[in-house]
Amino acid sequence: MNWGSYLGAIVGGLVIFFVFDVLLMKAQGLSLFVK
Amino acid sequence: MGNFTKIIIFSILIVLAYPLYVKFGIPKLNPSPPPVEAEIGANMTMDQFIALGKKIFDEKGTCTLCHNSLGRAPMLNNQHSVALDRLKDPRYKGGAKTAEEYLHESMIKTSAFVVAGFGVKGSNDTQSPMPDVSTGAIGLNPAEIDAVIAYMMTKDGGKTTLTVPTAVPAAGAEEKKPAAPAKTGAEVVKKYGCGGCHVIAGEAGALGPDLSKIGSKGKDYLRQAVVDPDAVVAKGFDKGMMPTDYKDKMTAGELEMLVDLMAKSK
Amino acid sequence: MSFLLRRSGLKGRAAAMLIAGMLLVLPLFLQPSSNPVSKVLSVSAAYAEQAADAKVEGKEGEKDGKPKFMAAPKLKEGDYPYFKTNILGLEVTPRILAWLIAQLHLWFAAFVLAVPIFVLLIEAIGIVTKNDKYDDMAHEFIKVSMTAFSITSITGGVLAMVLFNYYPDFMKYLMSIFGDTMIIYAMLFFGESGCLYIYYYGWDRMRYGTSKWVHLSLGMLLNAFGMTILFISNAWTTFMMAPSGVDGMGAFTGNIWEAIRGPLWNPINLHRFIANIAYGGSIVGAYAAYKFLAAQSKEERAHYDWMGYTSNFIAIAGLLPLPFAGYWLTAEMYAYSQQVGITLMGGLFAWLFIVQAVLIGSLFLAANYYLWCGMGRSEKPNPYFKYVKYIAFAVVVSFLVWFTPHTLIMTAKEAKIIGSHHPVVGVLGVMSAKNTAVNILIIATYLSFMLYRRGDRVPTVGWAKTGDMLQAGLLTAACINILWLGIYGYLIPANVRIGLSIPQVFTTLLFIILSVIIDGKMYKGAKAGSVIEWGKMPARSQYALFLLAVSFTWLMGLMGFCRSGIRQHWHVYTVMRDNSPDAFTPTLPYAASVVSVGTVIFMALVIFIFWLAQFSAKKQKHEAHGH
Repeated sequence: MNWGSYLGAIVGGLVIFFVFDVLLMKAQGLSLFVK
Repeated sequence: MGNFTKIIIFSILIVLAYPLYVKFGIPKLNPSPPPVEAEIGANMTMDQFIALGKKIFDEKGTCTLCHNSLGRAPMLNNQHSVALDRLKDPRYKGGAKTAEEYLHESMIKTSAFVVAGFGVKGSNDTQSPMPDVSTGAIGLNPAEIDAVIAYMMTKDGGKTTLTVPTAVPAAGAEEKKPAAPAKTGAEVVKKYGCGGCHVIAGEAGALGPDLSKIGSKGKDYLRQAVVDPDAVVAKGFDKGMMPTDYKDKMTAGELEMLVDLMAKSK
Repeated sequence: MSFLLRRSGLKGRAAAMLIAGMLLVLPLFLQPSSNPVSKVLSVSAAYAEQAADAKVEGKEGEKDGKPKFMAAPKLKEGDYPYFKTNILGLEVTPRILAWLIAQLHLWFAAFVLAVPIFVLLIEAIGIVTKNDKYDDMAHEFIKVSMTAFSITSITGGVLAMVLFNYYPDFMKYLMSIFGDTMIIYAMLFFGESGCLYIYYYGWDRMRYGTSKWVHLSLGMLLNAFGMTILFISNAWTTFMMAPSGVDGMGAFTGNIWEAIRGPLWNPINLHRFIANIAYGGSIVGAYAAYKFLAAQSKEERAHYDWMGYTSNFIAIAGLLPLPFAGYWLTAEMYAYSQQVGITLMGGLFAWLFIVQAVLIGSLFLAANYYLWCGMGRSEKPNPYFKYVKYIAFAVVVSFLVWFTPHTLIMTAKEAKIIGSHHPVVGVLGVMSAKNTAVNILIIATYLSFMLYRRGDRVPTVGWAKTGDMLQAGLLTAACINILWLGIYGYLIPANVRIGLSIPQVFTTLLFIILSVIIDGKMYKGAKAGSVIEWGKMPARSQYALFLLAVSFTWLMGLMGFCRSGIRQHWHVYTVMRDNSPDAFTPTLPYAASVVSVGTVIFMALVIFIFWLAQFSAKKQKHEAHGH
């Protein structure tokens, strides 16, 4: 069981997805962060 | 039981299961019947007129589709006083002077004033998502609009200065019996309801240009304005506001009498 | 193009295919709104502006100040020829007749548009893999569907007759705008049937070498004709829902492209194109399932098992992108008219979408169940079968969340205590939860498929375990992202929450793409693990395919009602009022019964088609009479 790659993939995946979350919201004229 | 029979029975069961779910598993909603033009009877009382307004508000007008507690549009309570507050709002730049005029304007020129927070996304509350109810999918006639206004003004304890309009025949009846042509310019004005929007011949509408001194424009201009209203639109007013079918409804004589009357208004 | 064919080898042929392919795809790129993601919110504004301009100017259609084209007629009840009769205890009126015939036409049309698409793909795969069984299956698919083409035409002709007879003024008005397109539409059938007949009858004659490439190109041309026919009729239907290219009185402005390219045209083009593929897959799947159950030999059973698997794959491949196409369509409807959008999702038709959710849940459940049964095909137990229970759990929970409504059916007493919404379950009734659920559902289905595919292969690359961990990690990250976006949606204003569905969808797509890439690399050069025994499937798995086909048909019928019903009392929304005796918008149970009747008629006709395919296959023995 290669837990290193598992956790690495989770962290890496979360980072990539989060970046796209922000970008895609911006593309729609909205912001991911709402006060 | 052969395969074929088993499959058929299985399929029939599925085809029965879905409509049964639809019939018993979800709430019964009855769509409103197709809307008809409201008939304002000759002896309609004010109470009946207001009740008609409520009916239109709930059904044909589709008002409650957006004006409800889900937050898409402002709640329409206490409009008799809210309308007056809106007139005093520093952002208000429309042309209404009374509560009834404000409500009328809010239903037709819906973007004249947008309540804070309800504007189209990105328009900074300058554009309203509400359609013009006098045309398009809703298509209320002037009497129906007045009925709704009367209802909104009175439903939460207010009073209205509106009165039951003179009998508006249902659309079908109009076609069966064309009215006799008017005999004077003033009759034409009354017959076609010009005073509903314009200041003309003693009437004082507030939605269109003031015609009391329109004689200076000349007969050709005036004739075109009646026959093809969108060809030249007065400054400060929008295209598409004045009905375009007077040319079909008026007789040639009526048109000339009206043009004469306006040409003399100097 | 012969100079390309003269060059032997794959390059020349591939170039020829590419050119033919561009012909097929070109129409899509001529349209302004070809990029859904970035244009979801802006293209509709452009169209609204265009429509508004057309309404005000109307100059193109004018001659001497008088409009050249007729304004939309204002009809009265008496203008519609009418009848009311009883057939087998069911009430039939012109409206019911038009409804049923139109729906039958659409079911068959969807089928005959879909089959050439996947037949072409399977034929191409056959060429590339040089494996005869693909070509034979493609041939069988087209053979089975031949009769469907004429039934499509028959129902189309009957529909036209019904419309001319019972809605003559509406048809006159529609033709004042689209008359030319209708002629073109009819003429295109020459091209389509020409290609179809040569493609089908010439199959064995054009089996190898250059002829095969010509055959493939004919198949592509068949698809091009079919798609053009679809797009033209889509213009008429979307015009009725969201008219463009007409002025305020409904008179045509003279510019046919304005009338065709309304805000809903491309969304429906895309949606119907994808949905047709999924639907076609499910219908041939039913054919394969029946033949499997009726198979007399092991070879036959193996053959039809494989066909069923391929059909299910086609159905799932079409099913996965479909929610996105549907989302685009609804977004455009919302942008065109807030009133229409709200009636759809928050008003009268809101419950229809709950029923739709139930139907789609059935589809996903059936497709997944079929895959899980399929894992039993491998001779040695599939090592990944143990994960099926988690996927099943995710599928069931997502389905339950998806169809939980916002408002519950309550008695008056319950409503007094609880209020209008259930305090716990009511929160699952909003888009935040629904989008989350459907994305999880799609990922789960992809996983079922991926794990199934691993049944007969063992990776030989050294980094296989790492590859698995990577994918598992990405999966976890994707689920976390989708879930947190869903929960976050509850905490923010509605207009921002709506935007969250794009990142959610993107997460799903990105995960699937990355997983396909990693998995592809992982299993390169993989050795055969266990033998796949085609035919080793329990009978109940075939019933999953029947459930798929029947549910899909019923779902299409329901959405056909949605498309038509959203116009309510309009022939052409806001432009031409429907004043026929049956202009009322039906209740959902009423519509559901009509859809069920239609489904039964459709099933009968499909059985006839499939029966005909095998009826024609046998030759009668001629007994000598001794003369």
